Amino acid sequence: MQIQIKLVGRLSEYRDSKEPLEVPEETSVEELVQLLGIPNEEAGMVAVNDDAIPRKDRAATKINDGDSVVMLAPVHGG
Amino acid sequence: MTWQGQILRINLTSKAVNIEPLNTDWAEDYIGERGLGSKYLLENCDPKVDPLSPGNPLIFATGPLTGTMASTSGRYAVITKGPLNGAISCSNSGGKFGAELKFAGYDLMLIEGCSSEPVYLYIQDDQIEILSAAEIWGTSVWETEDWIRRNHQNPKLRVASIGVAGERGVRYAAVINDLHRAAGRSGVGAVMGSKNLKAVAVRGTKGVTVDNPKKFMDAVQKTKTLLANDNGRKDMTAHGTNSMLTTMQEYGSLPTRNFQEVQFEGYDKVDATAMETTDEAGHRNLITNKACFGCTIACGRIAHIRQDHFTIVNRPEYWHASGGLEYETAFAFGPAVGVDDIDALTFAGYMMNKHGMDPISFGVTLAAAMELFELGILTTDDTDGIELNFGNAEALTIMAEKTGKFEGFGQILGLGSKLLCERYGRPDLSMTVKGQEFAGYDSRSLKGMGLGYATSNRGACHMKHDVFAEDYDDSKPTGKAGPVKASQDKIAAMDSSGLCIFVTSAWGLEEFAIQIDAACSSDWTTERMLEAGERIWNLERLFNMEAGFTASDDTLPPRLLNEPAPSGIRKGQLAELDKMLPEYYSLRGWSKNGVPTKETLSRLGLN
Repeated sequence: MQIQIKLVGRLSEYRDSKEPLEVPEETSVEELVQLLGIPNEEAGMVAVNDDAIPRKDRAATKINDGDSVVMLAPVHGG
Repeated sequence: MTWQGQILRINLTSKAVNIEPLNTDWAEDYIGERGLGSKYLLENCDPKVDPLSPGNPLIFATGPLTGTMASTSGRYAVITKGPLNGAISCSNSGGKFGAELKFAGYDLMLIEGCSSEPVYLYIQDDQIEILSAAEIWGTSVWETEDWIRRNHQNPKLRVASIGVAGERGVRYAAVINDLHRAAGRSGVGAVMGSKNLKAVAVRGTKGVTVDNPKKFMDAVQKTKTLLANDNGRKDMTAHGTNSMLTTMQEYGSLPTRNFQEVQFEGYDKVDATAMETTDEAGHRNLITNKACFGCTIACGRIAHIRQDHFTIVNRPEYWHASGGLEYETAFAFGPAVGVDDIDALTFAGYMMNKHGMDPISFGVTLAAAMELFELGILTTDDTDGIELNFGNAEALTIMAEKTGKFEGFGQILGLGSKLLCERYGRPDLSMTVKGQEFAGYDSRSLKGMGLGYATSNRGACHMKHDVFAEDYDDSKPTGKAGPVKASQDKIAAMDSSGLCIFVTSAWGLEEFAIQIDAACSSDWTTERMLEAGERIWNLERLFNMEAGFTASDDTLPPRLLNEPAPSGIRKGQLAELDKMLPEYYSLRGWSKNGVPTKETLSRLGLN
């Protein structure tokens, strides 16, 4: 299945493309983070279809064909 | 040990200069910098004092690690009663001034009274003079620094000074050191101006020693390595704090047009990538990055403006590189006022540094004025003929300069958002807590941030707590009070160390504790630092209570409580402060009215 994915800020170093991403059926949010090679602690926030998924729910939350995923790195101060 | 063991007390009324022993008991209880300075303030000031009167001391405080080999050890804090809102103010800065003050032999400098004529302080180790500032009164920060170094024929002097904004009492005037590092918030520069004190110039040659050099260098090596390998640090070095802007935009926490919206359509014209992009004419806003004393992050940006930009055409005095956009300046001059012209933002930033003002308070005050203008409450009759619409880059830059020079409508903007909005009958449009303007984070999408803002002792501030991780992870208000309270205590301790809070992407309190433990003669642990942080937080609270603040001031503007976030990942949500505040008071050991109980004060030794 294909999903739209946007990696913001420094996470764009892991995939700098606006093309849809092909992922296996039944991929969970946690598996998607691993698939992209992003260290777990670097995935500060993951939103699926504008719904932020808490860390405790990432393993159980499946991604569906056509979903839109946004990931943000953790931030401090500014 | 790392303390020099003495403080400088200067009375500008009597011109008395006294060197006193550092109160080491207080350093044991309050660590240094923010905590120690707050203790000295409380012991030397009636909290009910008029902030702009001679009775309000102005304190420059270093921390135990200021001037040492520890990474980011250039920090010092200015502590006083802030004129923006009458609350206790602690505004810290980097650059090289703080370390130089310590090298001259002083852990803290307490300035009292008021000079009858403009003066500046000249400190070269044991030589301390109060000199006439007649020739530089009325000039900018940049001119002042240059004049003082030339006057003393000493390019190594480090200068902290005010511009006209501070002289004339702009409520959010800053103290600027090293041209573009600022003790920016709460109007500490206006307190300096009220004392007729233009500048403090310091040269120190005494160095700083530590209690256990071997143990200290081991701790420094360990912590520097952690910082070097940290992805957050790498991001900060490469892109500066403005890399935050894209993140806040995507999340929907980027306050736009006076917090009416939470996302800004022009964000990509003013973000870190825009700064780093070469335009069609071959101009790149960003020139390089810059570090403060001892810093291994170097988040500072050095930028320049296109010479054909309307702000500097025929103004060659601005055709040079200077301090560039950081996240808060980009937010305050960009989304907050709806402007997407990066050169206009950069020029407004120059004005803040040159004339000595807090960009957050200026930008958010201008945003309120723009909303008042669009509502027809303000007209061009009020604004010196300037169309004060959101998105007007020329209005931004003109008003930044007018406010810095205290001219025309700039004098009204210099009141700050709270007094401005009250003056025109719409206090609800002031985006402030306790009279201090918000930074660039919206409390509807970052609920822990909202609680932190509401309970911050100096008014709205994003740097007194750190709950980004919790806010990212869960949108609910439940469970936020604990992390807010814990991070407030932790950061109060960190702010008292002499180091920069930007190390916290890599370091926890333990990394601070092991360095302070090695540098100081007494034993410091994470637990002891956390307790000191809680003591500092409560001390600040006690000052504010004596000054007249109550639990009713621990709140947020009605816009954030009643108007749902219009877009973003937390679309439709409100700040929900009422669901967090009672638990917060309880965790703090405060009454339902936000008053520390006797048991809490006793536990912290604050009786």
